[in-house]
Amino acid sequence: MKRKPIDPELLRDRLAAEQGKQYWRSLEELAGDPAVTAMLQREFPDGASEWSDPVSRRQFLMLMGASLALAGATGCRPPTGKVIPFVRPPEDNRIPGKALYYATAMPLSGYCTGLLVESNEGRPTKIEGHPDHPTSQGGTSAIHQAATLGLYDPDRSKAISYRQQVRTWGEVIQVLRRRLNGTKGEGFAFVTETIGSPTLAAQIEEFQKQYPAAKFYRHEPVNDDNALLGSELAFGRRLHSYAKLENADVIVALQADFLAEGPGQLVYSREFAKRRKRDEEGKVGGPRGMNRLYVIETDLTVTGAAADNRLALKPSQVEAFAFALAAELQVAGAPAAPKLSDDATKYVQAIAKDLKARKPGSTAILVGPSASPAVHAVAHAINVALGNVGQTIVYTEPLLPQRQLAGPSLRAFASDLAKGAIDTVVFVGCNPAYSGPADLDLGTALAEELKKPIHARPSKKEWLAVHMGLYFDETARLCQWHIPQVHFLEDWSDGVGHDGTVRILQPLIAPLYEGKSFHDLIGSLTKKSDGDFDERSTYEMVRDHWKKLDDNAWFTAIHDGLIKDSAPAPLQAELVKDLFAKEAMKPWSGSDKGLELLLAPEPGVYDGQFANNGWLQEWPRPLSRLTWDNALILSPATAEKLQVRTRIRLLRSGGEHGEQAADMVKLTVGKQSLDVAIWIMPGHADDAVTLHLGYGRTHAGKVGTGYGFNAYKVRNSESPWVAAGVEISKLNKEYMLACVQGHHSMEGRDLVRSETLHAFEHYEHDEKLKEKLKKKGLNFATRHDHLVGFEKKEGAKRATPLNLYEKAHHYTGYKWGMVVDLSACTGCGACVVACQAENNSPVIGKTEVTRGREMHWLRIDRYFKTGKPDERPDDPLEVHFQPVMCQHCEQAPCELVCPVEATVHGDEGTNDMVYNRCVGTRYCANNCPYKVRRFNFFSYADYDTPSLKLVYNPEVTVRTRGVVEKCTFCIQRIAYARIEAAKEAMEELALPVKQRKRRDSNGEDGKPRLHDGKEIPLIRDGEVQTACQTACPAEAIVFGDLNDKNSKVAKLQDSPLNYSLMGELGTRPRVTYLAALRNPNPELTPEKNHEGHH
Amino acid sequence: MATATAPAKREELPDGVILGPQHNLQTITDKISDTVQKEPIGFMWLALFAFAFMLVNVLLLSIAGLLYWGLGVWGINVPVSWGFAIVNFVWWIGIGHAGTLISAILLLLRQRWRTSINRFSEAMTLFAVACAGLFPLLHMGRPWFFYWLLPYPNTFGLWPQWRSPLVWDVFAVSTYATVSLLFWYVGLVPDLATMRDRATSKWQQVIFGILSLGWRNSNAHWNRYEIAYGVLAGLATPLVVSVHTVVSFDFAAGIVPGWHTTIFPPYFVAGAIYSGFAMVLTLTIPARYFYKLEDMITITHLDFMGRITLATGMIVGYGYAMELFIAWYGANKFEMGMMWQRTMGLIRWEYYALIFCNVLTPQLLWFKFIRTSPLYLFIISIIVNIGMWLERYVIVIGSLSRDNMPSAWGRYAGTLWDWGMYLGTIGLFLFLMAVFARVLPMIAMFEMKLLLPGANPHSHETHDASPGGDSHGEKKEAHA
Repeated sequence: MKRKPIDPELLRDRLAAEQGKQYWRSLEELAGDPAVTAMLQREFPDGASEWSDPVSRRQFLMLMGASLALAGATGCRPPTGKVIPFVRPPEDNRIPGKALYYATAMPLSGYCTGLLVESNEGRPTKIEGHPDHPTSQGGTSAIHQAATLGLYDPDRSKAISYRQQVRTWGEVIQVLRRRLNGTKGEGFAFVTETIGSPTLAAQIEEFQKQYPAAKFYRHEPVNDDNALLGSELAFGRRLHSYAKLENADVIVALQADFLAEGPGQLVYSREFAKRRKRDEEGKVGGPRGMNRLYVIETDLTVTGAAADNRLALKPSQVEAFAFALAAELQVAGAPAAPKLSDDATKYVQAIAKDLKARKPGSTAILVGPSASPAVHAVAHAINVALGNVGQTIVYTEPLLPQRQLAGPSLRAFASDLAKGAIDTVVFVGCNPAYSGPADLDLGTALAEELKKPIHARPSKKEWLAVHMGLYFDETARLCQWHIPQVHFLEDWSDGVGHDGTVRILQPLIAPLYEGKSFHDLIGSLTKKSDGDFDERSTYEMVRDHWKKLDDNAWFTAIHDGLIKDSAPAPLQAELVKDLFAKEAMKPWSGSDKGLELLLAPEPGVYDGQFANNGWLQEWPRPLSRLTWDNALILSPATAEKLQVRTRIRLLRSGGEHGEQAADMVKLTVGKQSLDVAIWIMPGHADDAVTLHLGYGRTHAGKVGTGYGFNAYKVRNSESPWVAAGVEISKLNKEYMLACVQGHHSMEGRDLVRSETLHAFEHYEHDEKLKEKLKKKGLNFATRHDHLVGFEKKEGAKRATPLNLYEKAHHYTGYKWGMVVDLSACTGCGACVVACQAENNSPVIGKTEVTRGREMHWLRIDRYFKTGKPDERPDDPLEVHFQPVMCQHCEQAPCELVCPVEATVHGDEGTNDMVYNRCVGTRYCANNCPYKVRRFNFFSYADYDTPSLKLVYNPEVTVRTRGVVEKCTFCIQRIAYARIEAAKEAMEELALPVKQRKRRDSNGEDGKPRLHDGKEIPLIRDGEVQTACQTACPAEAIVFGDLNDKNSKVAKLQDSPLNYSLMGELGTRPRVTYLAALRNPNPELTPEKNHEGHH
Repeated sequence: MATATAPAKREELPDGVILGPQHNLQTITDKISDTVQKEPIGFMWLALFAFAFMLVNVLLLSIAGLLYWGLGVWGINVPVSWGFAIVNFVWWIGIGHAGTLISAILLLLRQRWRTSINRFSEAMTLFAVACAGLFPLLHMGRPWFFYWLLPYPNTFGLWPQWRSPLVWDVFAVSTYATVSLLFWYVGLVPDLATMRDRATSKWQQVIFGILSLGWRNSNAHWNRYEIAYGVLAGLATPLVVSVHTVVSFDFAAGIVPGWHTTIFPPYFVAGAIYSGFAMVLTLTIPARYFYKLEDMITITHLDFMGRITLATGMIVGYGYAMELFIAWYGANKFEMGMMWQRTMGLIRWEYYALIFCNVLTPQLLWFKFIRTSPLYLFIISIIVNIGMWLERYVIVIGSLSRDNMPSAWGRYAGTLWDWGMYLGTIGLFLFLMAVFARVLPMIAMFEMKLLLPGANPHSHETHDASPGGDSHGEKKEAHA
């Protein structure tokens, strides 16, 4: 048989298509040479018979010798090309073991958030906020934190495929080019995620010039359509708006979860929190005082939980409330107030009075994306009337290059598809078959197109559908072609932030799976002026787009992750004259009887795109504390009316801390219906239900498939966020929900201490009381503590429980401590995922969570506070969050009981865990009053999946089965800072003593502190930041050295708001909390006489 | 001399008699050793053995699954990190208390009635401790490192952490097990020699020969024996108190509400003796029935054991009352919360069941007709055993599921693996008891002979063997 020569082109393509551990035996086989294939298919290859003889001793020795010689020979291959020995660090600073940080940004729904990404030996492992970034200012959200796991997700699609057969990039591009060849792009359509990249927008523009008939549609389940429409109503043109909350003394949020949702959430959280913390001068909220937040909403959200006064109303009433507020404020042209409940009227009057009493430009009315355009317009009108424009509310031109509204655009796609006007469709980064509204039913439409014979099509062209995405998802399954898309950490791009600042996305790692970006795709279909296709690298594309930047400016932009001062200038927006006379200017009518439905993005999986991310799935949702599922959220009263409930099953472990059996109901919205489990949420509005998007995926991957309920099945494209006349009927079924906290009450224990600003100010002015408390070692937060069994030492700095130990250990060196400011904490939960990413905490799965075994080192407890203790918290007055990590007790109960010294006290006061010494008696976990210790009941860590090995932080041990683990205060970060400080101190030895910056001066009289008789190099305040601290958008967590009198943490521990969690146990925690201050409107929350029962 | 001596029909001996009057030196030896050496294997024994063997296999499977998959197969979680394993451990250790108490303390107190039940209850102690020992070992996350709890020279340069009650436990339980074994074995030696001498088959002669350590019944042997036995009894006596005291420290040294109580040591010791005697009753009553030992383990024995059960049960009840009182009196909100959970909250059904079993039921023992009725006693002993298990359940699981931190409150339920392990150890216990009954003399033959009139210097005056001390005869004489 004569052999054909191997086609090198074909071979390269085939090799490119191979993924993972796939071996080929020879190049011919790989190239599919028929002769080789035939040979392989024979039972024995030629010459096999020679080996069928038993091996003789002589032959064995011969073979051994030969193989040894051959093995040796492989070791004698000097590398080809010039290599540089590791004498000096390579130019790009890549030193093994040293992490580097790169600035990039994460796009979500079109807007980017600036991030710093930690890279270890070229693999991104941890996301941090970008401190210089206007949109993040150093904070992150849980979704950002989980991005690295998304990158290494083993379920990401790995190869270009045609009908699930592996193909090449060349092939798919050929197919698409052939489609476009000689046409103006008729019948060619793109359905994209929201495009926020200016480069991409320019590329699309170029493409459209060449193919003017090609269509671009936008699919974005969570979009700002209503906000843009609202601005169009109010100002006659579409405008983008964002808030500057540091200037806002009063904030009114109408259905707006601005602290946890939307592109501005991080900076809003930071600015909001700044106005609620006690500053260095002791003034709460800084010079302008503490702000006040009113929240009028349906579902209880993170923002609602932070509110000083919160009113739960069903969606239509929230809308009416906005109009009533405009009327009460006598906004020009506002019609008479619509009918509201007495409660709501009281709120309208009180809020209006409060707003009017403030200086112009010091308030802000914020409206969420689910409110109708009319409500957005009303808010604009109120903001204009209160003089907030330019002060607290900033208007700019729309930021996204893609101008069409997402909802109408997808509707247009559906109707064009139905008309047969489309033969070729390319879906980019979106999944409309799953996340399209139910009435458009795109899944069925696409499946039908796929089946339709060519002659049944109006254009007589074959149907061609291409999907480009991170996963082979629901939509990919209905397309012939699939192209894996690059993750944002894998490729170059650019984007805009919430204020329009341009940021550059740089890759942290080469694409793991031959992914391609939309830049590549659209470039490969666009001809350049020389007639060739645009096949520049994405770097060149982005660089060329910003060619107005010189090299210096460009590298600065990459280094910083943003182009400075690129935000569009604020506009002075003029209200249209007859705003309230417009037809559209009326609140959504809702339903008088029956229930209303509110849809909202899921805090974890968002619109469903993060469904396969285990960190987000297992992340307890801030309010419901549910993991792995969504559920139909309703108020206790509504649940009673519908006769539905959740219960704890007997004889199943975990109980309320783990699983609850929820009744299933049939939710009917118009023609659509959905069987869904319920979840009762105190604080939810009555006569309304809320359902989060993003669950019920059928093809999300191994992690995300099959959990929760698909809210898109009841979503309508005309009214995507709310629905009236919803019917709910109880089904005779139960569903197991995994909930990590089933107990809402503090049981009269002072776990979260909260006070009103009024009471605090009263205390601040009462010198006599202050002096009296100080003598006892008490402060404002601890003033009601009963000092039974406490050291009654006159003038003690802090009251300490009596104990048998003679005196507390004196820490001579560093004394690490942490303060968590509960006034600032919004409960957003970014710290929880940050901790998981930093410390390699495993994902254990829903079943294990239902058994009460979640592995988070840091959890955020959520409590409802009612008027009376132990009352059933149906209508919580206040919601409080409390991040609880290991408290690093100085008298740690866990250390005492460990039989093998696996948990011991470090000489800097940290409570350390020695994993390889732990035998797993779990006595420490029992004896920990804070219940922060976690146990590896099974082998939870994934040792097998190759791509998941990359996500691990190399500085932190991956724990095995049978070992207890817990928060370490990010001891690896302390160690890193100590080494760096010591290195610098060594370098400074040549300098005169006075010039040494690493010389500690925190001892007595500014002398260096000694530890074991030796000077220690100074780690400056702020050089060690824990993972939870850096992630916190509200800067609620402060970590540092308590022995340094000037450190932030030491100063905060002297705050009158400082208290220890269950300090009466005598554990002397190193973590302390600052009592939460609330600033309720006294008209709405009558002030109790706080000192009365003292 | 070779006449059969077993009573023709089951007749309870009159009150106050601890050995059937028809017994003589020969009949005692015959009766006890024939059970091992002559009597054929009975159906009841075979049924018990088969049942126990099945449960032993359940135990082995439970252990295999546990080691293969990990502790996650159990129902434990955070906050309830200790589940059945610790409940069962404390329960078994408690059961193990009666043996040493009977053999050591009652020996030193010269309570002659102990002789017919001491061997039996010592064996019970050993087997219960063996069952108990399994749990702390297997409840560890990495049991293959169990030896890190022992102070041995090692390259880590580390000793165990002496402040941990778990380390005290290791010493307390292992010392207890060792001393109990020695005590039991030393007490067996003269009887093993008897067995050797009576053995007819070669292998019995060899085995009993080796085990009897060359006992030749010489005066010197008896002298040394008495000294050794006395010393061991002296050693064992404090252990009876110390073991459960130390076990109670596992809880009392913790700061978990419901654990952190100074009353735990005495109340645990009392509870242990209580449950131990209950278990002795549970085992003795069927054994004396099936082996027709009514003339050796008499109704008087049962009566006395009933009295001890009542007394220790009252102490336990006092403990429960004190827990409630101190929680209220101490005004500690966490402890008060815990007691609320026990009386009104999550764990109330278990708590009320335990009050019923451990406080109310034993009150029946005030009545003599109940104390002298094997059937009633047997039922009560079963209830007490259940009650003592519930007590540990309430303490371990109840306290952990509702501790200081309400946000972390959770529950616990044993899985099939938990139950498999528990039932498996019951199987192991019965298995070992069954084997013991067939291969070793259940009752101390030579000690029983001391109860014979002939063994008493004043035998000509008192023909009945009576339960009191050595001087009983003289006392009686004085009364007369």
